[in-house]
Amino acid sequence: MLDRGKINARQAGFLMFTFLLGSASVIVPSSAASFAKQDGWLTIIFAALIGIAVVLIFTNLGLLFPEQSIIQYSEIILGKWIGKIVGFLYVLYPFYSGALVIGIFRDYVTVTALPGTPAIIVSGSMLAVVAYAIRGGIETLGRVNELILPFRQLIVLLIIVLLITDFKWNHLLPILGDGIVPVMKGSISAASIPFGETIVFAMLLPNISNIRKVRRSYIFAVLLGGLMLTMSVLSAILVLGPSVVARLNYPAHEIIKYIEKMGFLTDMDTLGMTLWISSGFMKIAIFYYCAAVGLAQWCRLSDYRSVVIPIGVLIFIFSIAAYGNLIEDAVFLGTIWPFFSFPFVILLPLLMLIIAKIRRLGGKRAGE
Amino acid sequence: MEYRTPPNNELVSGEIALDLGMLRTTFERSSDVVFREFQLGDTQAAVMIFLDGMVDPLIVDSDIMQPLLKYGEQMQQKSGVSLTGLESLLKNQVITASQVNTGGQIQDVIDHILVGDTVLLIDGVNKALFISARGWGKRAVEEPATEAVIRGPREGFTEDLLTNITLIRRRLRTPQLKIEGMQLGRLSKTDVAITYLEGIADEAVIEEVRKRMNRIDIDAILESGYVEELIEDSPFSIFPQINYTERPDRIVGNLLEGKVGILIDNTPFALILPVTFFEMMQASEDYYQRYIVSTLIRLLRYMFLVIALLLPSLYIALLTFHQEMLPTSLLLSAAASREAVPFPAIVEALLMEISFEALREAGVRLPRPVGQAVSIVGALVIGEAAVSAGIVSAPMVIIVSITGIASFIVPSYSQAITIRLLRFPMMIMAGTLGLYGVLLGVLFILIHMSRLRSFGVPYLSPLAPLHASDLKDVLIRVPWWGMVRRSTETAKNNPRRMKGTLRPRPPKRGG
Repeated sequence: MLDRGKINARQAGFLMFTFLLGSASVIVPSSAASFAKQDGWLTIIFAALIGIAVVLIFTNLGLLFPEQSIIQYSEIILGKWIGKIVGFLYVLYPFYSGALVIGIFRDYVTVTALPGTPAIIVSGSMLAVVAYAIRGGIETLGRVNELILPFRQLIVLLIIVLLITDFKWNHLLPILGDGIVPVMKGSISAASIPFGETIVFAMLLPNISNIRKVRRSYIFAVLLGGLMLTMSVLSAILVLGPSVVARLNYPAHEIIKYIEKMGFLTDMDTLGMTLWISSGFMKIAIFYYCAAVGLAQWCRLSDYRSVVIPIGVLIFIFSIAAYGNLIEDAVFLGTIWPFFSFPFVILLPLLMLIIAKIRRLGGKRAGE
Repeated sequence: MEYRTPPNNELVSGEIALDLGMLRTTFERSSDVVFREFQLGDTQAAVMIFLDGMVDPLIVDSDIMQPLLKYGEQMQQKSGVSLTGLESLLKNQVITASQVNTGGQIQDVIDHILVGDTVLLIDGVNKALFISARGWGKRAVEEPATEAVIRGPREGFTEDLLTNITLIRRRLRTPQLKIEGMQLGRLSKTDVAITYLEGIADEAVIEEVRKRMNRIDIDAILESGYVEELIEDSPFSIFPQINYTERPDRIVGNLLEGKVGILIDNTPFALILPVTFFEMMQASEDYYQRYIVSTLIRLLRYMFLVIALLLPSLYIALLTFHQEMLPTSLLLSAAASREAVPFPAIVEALLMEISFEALREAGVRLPRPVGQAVSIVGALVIGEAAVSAGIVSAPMVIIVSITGIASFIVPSYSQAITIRLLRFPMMIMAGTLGLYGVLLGVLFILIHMSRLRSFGVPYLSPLAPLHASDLKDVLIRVPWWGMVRRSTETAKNNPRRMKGTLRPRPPKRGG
């Protein structure tokens, strides 16, 4: 194992919770409302069910090989050559997703808070801090997240409470007015981002100290993350109405502007930005970490820290190249990405699980 | 000129002229070494060697000199002095001082003279007697200057190691209290004591402390800061990873949590380790005041910790990048007061903060009456003049003053100065990237703290990693009857502090 740091199942669950909120709480309300209009919040519920399926598949697979990551056991299950290729796909997946999230946050920050600042400064400084965190290992990520999470969620809840007076409940009507089909379409999009992305946690399984409890805490994380996302979609729709939400880029950001209490608490949206950056930060960190550790495992290096900086530079450059602008990305994430990510998230893990079961691999601790 | 050490393993010859000659060469040009020569009886030449100022002359007179002369007289009347076993006879029956040892090596003789013992050499006896009659000028036990309390003991450590050990021992009258002595410093030979409670402190931590202390090979240890920098975990971190205190009650409280204390001679500051960030935010008084008050004071401290770190940078970020976040009236008054100011907010803030730090430093170094004058002139006159001259704005003066006060609310001085220094990079982040920069800065600091460890204990525990049962003594302070368990990280072996049923309840009515 390259990173000898250990986190416990609770920390892992917290990480997944933050990971789910990461970029999704900024972009999901808009895409959900554009697919399913006033029923956008229902899409998250179906997507969360898919998320639980993903978690069940990769934890069942991971528990067969509790001391190895997906990159290592893919070689055992699929044989050396195919395993190597599949393993490399799982280095590329977090790498690509990480670049995408960095791109989303780079645009988000420059659009909402720092219009005059060059975009590469924003993403570069963020990646530098993330790289520092990653060199500290998974323990550092677990601890920082554990420290920030309660404070962040408290403020998020406070924001929702302050918005209650702006809720217009008839925005939700008619419920399922267009039938279930648009909801299903929307939930496929929400299932690929963020719930499908949880597949990268298959990389972290060997670092969890009480691995038997991890499935439960992951499922809890998906449920709670789904709840928080549902609330963010719901409050955006309740405040702004589905047609406005669908047209805005960052509806969850915009609704904070609606808070106006005592003539003093006004235009707090930049404060909201800091909340999402702190969760998006963890999401980028987890992708980046998985890409770095994955590459080190794939190349059989003795330490992943030597690839942290090179991977960071590549992510930085790739985020400029692959992520053009908001509109392009919204289309890409809504139409192409779900199908692009499907093999990574469900097909390959399920295939490996079935092959491992048929070949009766794993299930024993290494060294026995 | 190279100092010539006396040859190793040289033995006391028993021929007094020879031994004395060697000692006189060793101690030549050392005017504080006293060689008191006398006769034991009529025939036996003897010499007493000690350092003037490090022995108590009264004890030397009454407990060494007088009994020796009387003994010499008696022996003379009987049969003359017999030399065989004389040293143990003197030790057991004659000298009335409480601590007497014997030794046969010249190096021992030199060491004992230097630590303040009185050495007795007798012609014809190839052993030296080391008599402890130490006594030198000491500061009395006073109230510690850096950790004053309203409620709590007023005793503080002094520069004398034995006094300090006594102050601890008086609070823990148990053989479980261990005090392991050692000497550090090739030239200073400073006495150092590692102290802990056996059965509560983690053996692995104690062993690690011993190991790191034994590594130290330096010419002198003048203050606990030397030891701190030589044994800490992350020498390049700005955060203090070892706490220090002048208060015996504080160190005892920490020993009871399973921590290890290091006492060092010649300084009133003792080290406490391992330590977490949150422990440095606690004052000993928190545990003596009523718990509700203590809890509120703690919350106040954390609030002002955030202010001390972030207020100037938030102000800069808001004024430079996010003006819309200020309420309209506040924005107007801020803009009006900044109208005449020629600098951008970041320059203005840096200017003021740096002058504030300079004022503080000047106030510490100067003699007290002058120091006050400097701070009055600096704070009031310059501040007022700078505002009316239009060089800085009035809100900035307010911000800087609040930040200055806030930084003094942190109980640990080394922690406070860390926070004050971190304010500057935060201000630069705010001036370049606004709130986003502030957030990145805070994340960086948190990541850094998460990576730190103090003797194996994560710096941010018990919050990260979370130990739910230890939260009773972090942001809040539960009443004493609720502190049933010691902290998880340092006292795993013996977590239970008290009976679980100590909560006082009124007696039932009736009867």
